Amino acid sequence: MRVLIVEDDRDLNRQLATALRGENYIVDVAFNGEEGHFLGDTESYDAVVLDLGLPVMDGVSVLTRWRAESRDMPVLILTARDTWSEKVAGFDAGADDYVTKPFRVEEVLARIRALIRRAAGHASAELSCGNVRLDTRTGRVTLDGAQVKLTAHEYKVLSYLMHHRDQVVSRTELTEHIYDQEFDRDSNTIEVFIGRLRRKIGSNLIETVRGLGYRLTDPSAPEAPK
Amino acid sequence: MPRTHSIARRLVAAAILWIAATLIAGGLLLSNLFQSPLQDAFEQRLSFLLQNLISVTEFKPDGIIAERRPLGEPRFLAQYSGLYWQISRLDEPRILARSRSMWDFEIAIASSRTEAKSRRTALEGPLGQRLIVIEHMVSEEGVPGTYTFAVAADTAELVSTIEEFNLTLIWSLGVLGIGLVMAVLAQVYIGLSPLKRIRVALADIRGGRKERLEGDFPKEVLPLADELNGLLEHTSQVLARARAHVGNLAHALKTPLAVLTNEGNAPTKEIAATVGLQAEIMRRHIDHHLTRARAIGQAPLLRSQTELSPVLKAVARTLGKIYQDRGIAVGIEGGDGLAFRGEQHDLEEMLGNLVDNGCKWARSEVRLTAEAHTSIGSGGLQVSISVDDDGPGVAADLRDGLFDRGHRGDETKPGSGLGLSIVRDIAALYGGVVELADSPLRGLRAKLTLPGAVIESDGRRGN
Repeated sequence: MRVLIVEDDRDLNRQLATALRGENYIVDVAFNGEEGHFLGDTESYDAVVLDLGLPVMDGVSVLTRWRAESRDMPVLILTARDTWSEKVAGFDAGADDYVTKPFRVEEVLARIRALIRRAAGHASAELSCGNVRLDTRTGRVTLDGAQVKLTAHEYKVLSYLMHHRDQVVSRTELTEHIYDQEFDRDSNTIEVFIGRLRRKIGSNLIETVRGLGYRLTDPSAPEAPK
Repeated sequence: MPRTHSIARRLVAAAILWIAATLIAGGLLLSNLFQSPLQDAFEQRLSFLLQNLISVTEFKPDGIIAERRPLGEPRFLAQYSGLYWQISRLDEPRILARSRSMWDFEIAIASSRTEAKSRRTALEGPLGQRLIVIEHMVSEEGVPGTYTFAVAADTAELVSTIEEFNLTLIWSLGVLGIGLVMAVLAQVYIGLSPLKRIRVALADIRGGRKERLEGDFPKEVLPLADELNGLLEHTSQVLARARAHVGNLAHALKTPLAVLTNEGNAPTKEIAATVGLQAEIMRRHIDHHLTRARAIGQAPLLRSQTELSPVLKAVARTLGKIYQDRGIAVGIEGGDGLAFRGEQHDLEEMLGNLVDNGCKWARSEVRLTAEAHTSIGSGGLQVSISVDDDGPGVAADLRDGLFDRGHRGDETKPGSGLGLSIVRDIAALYGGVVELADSPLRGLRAKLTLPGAVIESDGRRGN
């Protein structure tokens, strides 16, 4: 999962980035509204943490523009003043949730998780496919109740596929949401991860859709609506 | 309260007194000035007639022949004409001759011989008129005895002329006096009108409609207006600085608070929890005092008006989104055509807090109901917004406690606990109230009552 943090306070920005990376998120950061807007416009994110009081371009303007440009990733706004006027303005601009400063990082993490889940259409914090369960809160993956050990990258791939269960996910899309920009993005490594995952959770769950990408699906379940 | 004196009343009273005094004095003087020459002329004519009488009278040894030549005054001939002459003898008192006009009237002969050769007296005439009599003592060489020649004339005409003049004088001076008094009144009230303008301007400032005294003020009042404006400017600067200080302090504290809140290197879990809790308490207080500081010295602008419907919808939308995970439906009833006589962000703050509370406790539904009320005596229309939830509600005896700062009714729900007290404080700024009651949805009702207005269909405000 890929998250963008737009926050001008460097300490807070660092705190959030560290925490999110610790949860196996890929994190991009911006320190002003213009930078943040550009990134959100050009890259694909699963969620954005957006401070409202930004220099150059304020948060509400950034968000309004994104929504006008059909960028509809879930956005969590950080409000400085804790006034309802600010919150209403943020939500009217298109925010999906808010957190007031000073906040506990755990709260931000929990809300990001929930936003991503909700955006993918999952009502519960626990995602499942067949006999595989992934708890988004704890990051635990179980197969028939027994814990499965995954590397960070394997987890990221599985998590992304789980969130987009039954949908075809292209290699490019996976690459964008799994890899940090610093890493050498070689699409073949995705295949390696897929292969490893299949070995760990069962090969029948991850389907290769020729020419299009991969799909995580439960073959024994009735045809899910696309 | 002691009766304060009025500049206007003093000025007007003094002017009236002075005007009355001078007009009365002037009137008396004028009357006198008019009267004297008239009177003098009257008596001079009498003297002339007397001289004439004396010169036409011839003394004969046996008696007097009066009117050797005619006197040339027809009034001496008509009965009781008001002009009379009489010749009488003093030493052997008897009337020798009289004018025809005297008829049976006699002028009394002075019995005592006085030193004066001529005498002027007043007398009552045959018809009761007031007569002026001029007498002259005459003695002729070679003629025995002393004689008195008298001419009398009715003063009636003289008197009536004078009276007529006096009346006209009184009339005109009266009108003049009234005119002067009115001019004084006008001057005083027009002259003092800048003070009235200052009073109105100050009322505007207190009511929040203006920030300084504006307008043309005359030279005498201008220093006062300038000083007032200077004072207002100074005060608002002081307030702005105070607000800025509080704001700066609060914001400066936020970052260390954030660090404290998140610092994961606490030696033990208990200490971390304590630090976290204290940081949260500090944050609550900072937010509360920031809100109160914002309100310092800012008279709610009576001109501002916020339409209810858009704000109700925005707040409902926002909170619906925030609580969508729990599936709370936030509904609105009423509010069309109504407005709050206050600022939008204050309304958003009050409603946000109330609906947030409602959503926290609701099972599945929160309803906002807006109504208008005409209230007796509290100055104009009021609007009320009731926030109902279908949660467990709060027992009536515990409701007052919810307003205590920092005291949360139930520690199981997140929140600063300051929400209701903030709503109450902001509502109080506008003279409004928030009350808790039973809800038709079975949970709690928070009813916010505020000064309101009706928006006319063409956008004009009605009260």
